[in-house]
Amino acid sequence: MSTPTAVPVPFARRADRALADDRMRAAVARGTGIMVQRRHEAIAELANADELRDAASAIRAATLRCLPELLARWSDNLSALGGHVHWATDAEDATAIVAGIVRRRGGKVIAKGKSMISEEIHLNEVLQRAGAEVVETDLGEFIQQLAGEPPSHIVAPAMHKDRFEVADLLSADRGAPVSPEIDDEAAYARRRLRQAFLDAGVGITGVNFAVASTGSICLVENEGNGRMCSSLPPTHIALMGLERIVADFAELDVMLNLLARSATGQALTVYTNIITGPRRSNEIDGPEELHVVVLDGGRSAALGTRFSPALHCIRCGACLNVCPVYRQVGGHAYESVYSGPIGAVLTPLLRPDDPAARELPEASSLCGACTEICPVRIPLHDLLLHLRHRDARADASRLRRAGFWLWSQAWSRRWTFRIMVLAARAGLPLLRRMRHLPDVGWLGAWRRGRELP
Amino acid sequence: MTDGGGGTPRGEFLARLGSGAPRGADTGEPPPTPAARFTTSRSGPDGFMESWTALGGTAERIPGEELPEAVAAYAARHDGPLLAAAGLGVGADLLWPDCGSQAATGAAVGVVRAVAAAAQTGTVFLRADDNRGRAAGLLPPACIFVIEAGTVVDTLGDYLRSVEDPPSQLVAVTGPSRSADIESTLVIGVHGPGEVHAILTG
Repeated sequence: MSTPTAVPVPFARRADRALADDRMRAAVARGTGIMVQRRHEAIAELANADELRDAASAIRAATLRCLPELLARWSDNLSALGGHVHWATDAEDATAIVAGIVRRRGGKVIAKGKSMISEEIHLNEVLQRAGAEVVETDLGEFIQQLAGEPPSHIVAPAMHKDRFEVADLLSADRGAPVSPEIDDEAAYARRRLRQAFLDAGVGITGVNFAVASTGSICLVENEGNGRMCSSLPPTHIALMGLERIVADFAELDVMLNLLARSATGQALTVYTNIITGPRRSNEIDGPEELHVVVLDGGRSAALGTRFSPALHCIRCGACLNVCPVYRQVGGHAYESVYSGPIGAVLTPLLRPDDPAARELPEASSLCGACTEICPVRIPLHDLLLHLRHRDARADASRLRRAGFWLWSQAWSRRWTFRIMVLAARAGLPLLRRMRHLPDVGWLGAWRRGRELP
Repeated sequence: MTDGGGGTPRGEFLARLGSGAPRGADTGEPPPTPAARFTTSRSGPDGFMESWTALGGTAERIPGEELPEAVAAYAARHDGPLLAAAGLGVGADLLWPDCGSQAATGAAVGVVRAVAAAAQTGTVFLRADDNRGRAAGLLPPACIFVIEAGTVVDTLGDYLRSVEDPPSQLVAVTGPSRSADIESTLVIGVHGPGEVHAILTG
């Protein structure tokens, strides 16, 4: 465990700031509410949703147990078709690989589809420093790029903005007014970004699943920008986390039947792109080069630990939408690429030396709504509790640990339990008579927001 | 391979991820892969058309020999050139890729042949091989998908499980391009075609 250092702005303070932003809270409440409703309706269309969720959970667990073999088979198959696979240990590794390809393949403009990995490795900053023009082409990501903010939701990056804020950003980009009608805003983005697709020398996208048996990558999206980025530019670079693999199309089918339903409440996204190598000799269009960058980024350290189920995640965002904390504070308060319950679990695993990441598991009421909705049945609130436990154990003084040990012993034996209850009954009136309990330290923190019975 | 910087050798990267045992060696059997079952049953060309129109698409079913007329009639309702990939057997103003992507973007309607469709979800399958190309079904704001009625299966899984040698790009298209990125409100036609028309033949 690293030594604890001062956290610049604690989560509680960031949450307070978020709670004061009524406009953001209204947008997030609306967005998450609609997404949860749509998800329930879409899951209800499946006659065997529970069976599929059990299967998806088993597939993800089996995948993590056999990662080297699956990834090797996938990369052999993709390489045989002319695709290039790159292995990146960390963000620096990954950005160097991408920057190298961009340098060699030229092109000033890079058209980028949605990719959480690219956020994780801060790819845009690196490419822009190298002189490239990076254009985010997913509507939500485009809005966030104009705003100079990271995405606030895994699936809906600009969920926290209303259409008036969006209109201001688009108008500034255009240098002329764009009306705050959502259809007009989308139409402006279509016109504005179309040229970027045609001009781009490189297209960059994420990867939802890689398929070992065929060497394919699968990318799901609704707007068509992912399809553009992977079809039009002469070079396509796809970024994926190392855990994002399935054995074959039958497993892919199970995942696809759950992913869109859980994310946006659709049976399937509008475009399910299954890409198996670069364009072939008999083809009339498509990228000449396909590169897939596989990122570790701290994931391998979680394998084989009690936290490995966090790597089952398929990034549907459903746990964010049902989380009472996320729904109140939105995504930015987490100050992580991944917010909500899955973010509170993943962030400390991927950034083990970051004290700010280690306090995120506190951002939960442990109500279990996340665990209940997760399509691949990640026990999210258990993992949050384990993370708290791990850190409490690492940080607490001997005296404090002894105190908590005594406390738990006292409440878990029948006769000591009786004594504790009697003591509480006797002590309460005394406490109530003391108007001012000490409001300092952890006792003060505990007492704020609680009342004596 | 690397391009002048970055990258970890594959062996070193994979060695951090466990033993390298193949799938099934640990538990003795692979995980289950049940097919999705639906509470309402839609199948065949009629089922597909029901799902497709519910997503906001339009559809018609015609005898195969009437395809050129049906395409021409649809294109005539749109102001601008018709874009087709070579070899489709319909008259077109622009032929992909001869016209170039800038001209293709100016087309009002694109037309492509699908390899199959799925009735339950209203999904059309496009393969980027055999001169079909990718752009004609993607760049224009309206697009016609030509589907042989006999190729309609029930589900995505039915089709995927039949694919043995996937092409460089296989796209399952489920309705018109859309987004709900602003206020979770549905907008049709963002980057891909917002108007999608299915012509089932035979």
